[in-house]
Amino acid sequence: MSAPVLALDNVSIRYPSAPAAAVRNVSFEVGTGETLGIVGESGSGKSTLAAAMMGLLPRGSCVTGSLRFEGRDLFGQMTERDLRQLRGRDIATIAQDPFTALNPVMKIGRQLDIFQHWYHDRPRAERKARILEMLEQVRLSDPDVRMQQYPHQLSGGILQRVSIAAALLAEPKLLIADEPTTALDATTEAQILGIMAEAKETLRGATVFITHDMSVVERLCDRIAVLYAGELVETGTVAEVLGNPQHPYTKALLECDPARIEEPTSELPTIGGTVPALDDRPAGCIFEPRCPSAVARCRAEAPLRHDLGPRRSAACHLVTP
Amino acid sequence: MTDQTAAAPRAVKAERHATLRRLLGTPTGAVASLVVAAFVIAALAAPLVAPYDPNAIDPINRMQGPSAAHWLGTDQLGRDLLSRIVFGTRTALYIALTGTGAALGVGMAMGMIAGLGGKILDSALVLLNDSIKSLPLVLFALALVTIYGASVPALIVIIAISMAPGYFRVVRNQVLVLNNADFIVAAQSMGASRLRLAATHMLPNLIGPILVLIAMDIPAVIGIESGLSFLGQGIQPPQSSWGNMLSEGYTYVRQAPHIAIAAGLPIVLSTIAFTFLGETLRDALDPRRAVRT
Amino acid sequence: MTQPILEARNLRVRYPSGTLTDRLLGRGPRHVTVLPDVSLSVEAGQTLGLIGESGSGKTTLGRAAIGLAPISGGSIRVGDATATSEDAPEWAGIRRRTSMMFQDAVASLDPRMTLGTSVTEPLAIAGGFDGNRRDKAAELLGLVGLSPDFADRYPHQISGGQARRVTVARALALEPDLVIADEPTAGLDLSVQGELLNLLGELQNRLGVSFLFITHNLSVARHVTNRIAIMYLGRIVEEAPTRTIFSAPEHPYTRALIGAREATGGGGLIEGDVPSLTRRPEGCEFRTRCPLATDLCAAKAPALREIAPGHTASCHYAGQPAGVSHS
Repeated sequence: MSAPVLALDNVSIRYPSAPAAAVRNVSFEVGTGETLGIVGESGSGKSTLAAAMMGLLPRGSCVTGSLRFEGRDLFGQMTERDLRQLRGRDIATIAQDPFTALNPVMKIGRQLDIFQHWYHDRPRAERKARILEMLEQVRLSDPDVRMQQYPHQLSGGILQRVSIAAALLAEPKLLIADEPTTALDATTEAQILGIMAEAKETLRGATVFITHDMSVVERLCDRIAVLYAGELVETGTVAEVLGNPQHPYTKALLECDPARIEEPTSELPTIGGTVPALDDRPAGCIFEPRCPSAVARCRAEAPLRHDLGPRRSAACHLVTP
Repeated sequence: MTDQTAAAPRAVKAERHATLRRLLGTPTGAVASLVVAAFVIAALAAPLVAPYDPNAIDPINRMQGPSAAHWLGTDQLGRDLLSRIVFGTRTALYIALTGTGAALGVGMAMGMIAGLGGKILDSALVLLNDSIKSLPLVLFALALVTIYGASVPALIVIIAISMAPGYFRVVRNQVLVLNNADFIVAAQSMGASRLRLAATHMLPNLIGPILVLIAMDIPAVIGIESGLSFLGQGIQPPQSSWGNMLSEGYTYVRQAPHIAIAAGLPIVLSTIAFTFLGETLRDALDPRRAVRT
Repeated sequence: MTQPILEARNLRVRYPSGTLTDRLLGRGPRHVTVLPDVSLSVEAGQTLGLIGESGSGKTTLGRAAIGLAPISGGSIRVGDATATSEDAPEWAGIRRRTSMMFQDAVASLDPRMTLGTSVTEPLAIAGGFDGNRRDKAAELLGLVGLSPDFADRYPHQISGGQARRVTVARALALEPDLVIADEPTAGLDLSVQGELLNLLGELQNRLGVSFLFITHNLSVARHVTNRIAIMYLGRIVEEAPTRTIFSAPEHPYTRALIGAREATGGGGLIEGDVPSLTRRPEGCEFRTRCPLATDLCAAKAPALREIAPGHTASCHYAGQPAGVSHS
């Protein structure tokens, strides 16, 4: 892999006045053309990581380790002004709720034009042509009509396509999609995932897909990072991790997914217990209290990352390289 | 209701303690509560608290500045200003509480009826309240006083009429929002009657905004009373009222500015104290704002 | 077979639409018909899954079944009580033996009420309970695996999964015959979702409750329902035993939903958006998005008809062996 677009090295993030870090010692890289799926349930720290990648953590948050975008540390070497320039031009996002992501009192066309403000030296006609091209690429019918409409006149599925078009217009080096299909219906979700899969061809940069849904990762991503309670428990290619999960949490999570259970059953598998509270983390492995295969060592000692191959690792004592 | 046994009262009691803790736990809440408590004690125990008879004239010690004998000084007739303020508190709080209470009762009843009673009733009540609100308050008050004469009951009626639309609007809007709240629909799905919905689910969820409004209205009512008294149309002398005192102090503001300052002091102080009390009360009453212990 | 516990017959629900002036001036439609004509039944002790996307009317149907929607035609029968309008006197009796779980569990609990008061509220409303309400709260919370000290907490102090359990406890307080569960797993993590579904199943086995299980999630419905009804634009377009829905779906919309669940690329996808309720397509209402639509579909609305015993579908081409099957 050439130099990664985004590289996290031992990143820990602690919110101001929080009793403990929300994200602990997370490391991963995303290269050009790669799509990384970050998977986690509530309390996994995935939203915190997303905010950090955009440089949008609340003031006073404590970040250790390094979070580098094209080699520059987002928290060490960049001013607020640098970060602002980065967002919107080099880093684009697709939000979870398309209704709140767009300005309700501005026509779609105008908003999409503003998304290109970094390219204001381009003639107006060219900018408009690009908008139409992108709206067609996200398979929006009547793009001319849509550009004259306001967000409330459109459905969630159409708005999310507009958001994707907006992200494509920015030609970002890094696209962060934060649960972009969670608010959508099943058939609309399938449509959007199809469009995202196509958009990947246009996007030359790196994509980070944040989700709780393994099937979304399976459909769209090349690589996967599984988070649990703020820690990275397993990472690798999607085929490796979903095909041969090594960490007990990844295994359990996959077993819990009703979509993955072949035969209908009245007794669904579960993971007993709950995610430990921020100020009540176990001394040893973070997953030990809920882990079906925990041994004495798991209680005493936090496991280090075990490398299982190139860019493939799991944080578990029971994994042998 | 026979089934409201041990459980409910105990929980309510525990919650009351928690509310009190939250109210007094913040510096503004504690100071505001203290000041309001002082005003209330002054009003209730005026004869015991006041050092002098508020109407005792002392022609020798006229317009004296503050001294050890007269902490705030004396007015143009030699009456003790502190004593007059203390008795004025009685007047001010009496009118504030009865006036706001009447406004609250009327406004809340109308708001509930409008929110729960259907579209036509709602439209009619909104029209009525908007009409009242569009009346210029001071002219309206002066007109009523001219017709019925200046008296305490007249003042209370004026205040109730002019303040009721505020409560009406808050209650109605809140009820309309709550009508669609899931927990209200849930109660309906359990077969709860309209009365139960209003009393058990709506009312507790209305208390917050209403308390804030009351706390904000009390200083406004005090202002109305003082204002009308200042204009000579409110409380009639010699009964002491902050407005009367301010009016008299205004006459002598060049010779003895301390009279007007002393009369203005309780007006400013009570306004600030009640406003802050309202703010902190709203926060303290809401269990969602509570810090888990 | 005993008679079904819940039966909706030719149910029609419509909401008034437009502002007062619009209606006085006769502008625009006066009503939006959410459910034009729905019939369905839930057998005693069974779970019927009601599947559809947002705007399909599945939530409205759930609410109508407990008298919380403007019914303008048809009837709802629960047990031996039949109601034909929103303010029928029969609802009091029906609500006593039916309870409802809402999509947003936290919002369905009064924020100013302790959970103990909330779970026992059905008893207070029904009246006639003379035991200790606090003990009853502890018992109900125990039923769903929560400790008695939850009784003194408030909704904002608990997690989404715990709030779910509290609403299950409340739904079971009066030992109802029927529970209407509207998206009972919405917003739950996968690892918690299974626990809740298992709990519902266990309670069904123990108490014999019937469920009307409203969801958009076919993967969940596959495991927990006996039968499935698929809704589109306020109409049931297919209904069959759960196994059949997955193994031999007859309606193109059902096939699309199942396809959307499995699709990795373009296969099985349906294009376009759900039409507006005020502008229902002529003929078959699904034809604007249907890959199989023909002239017949534009001309004539298909009736919901029996394809096989216990399996109904409303498609002109349902039940035809080959030739018109989708890709």
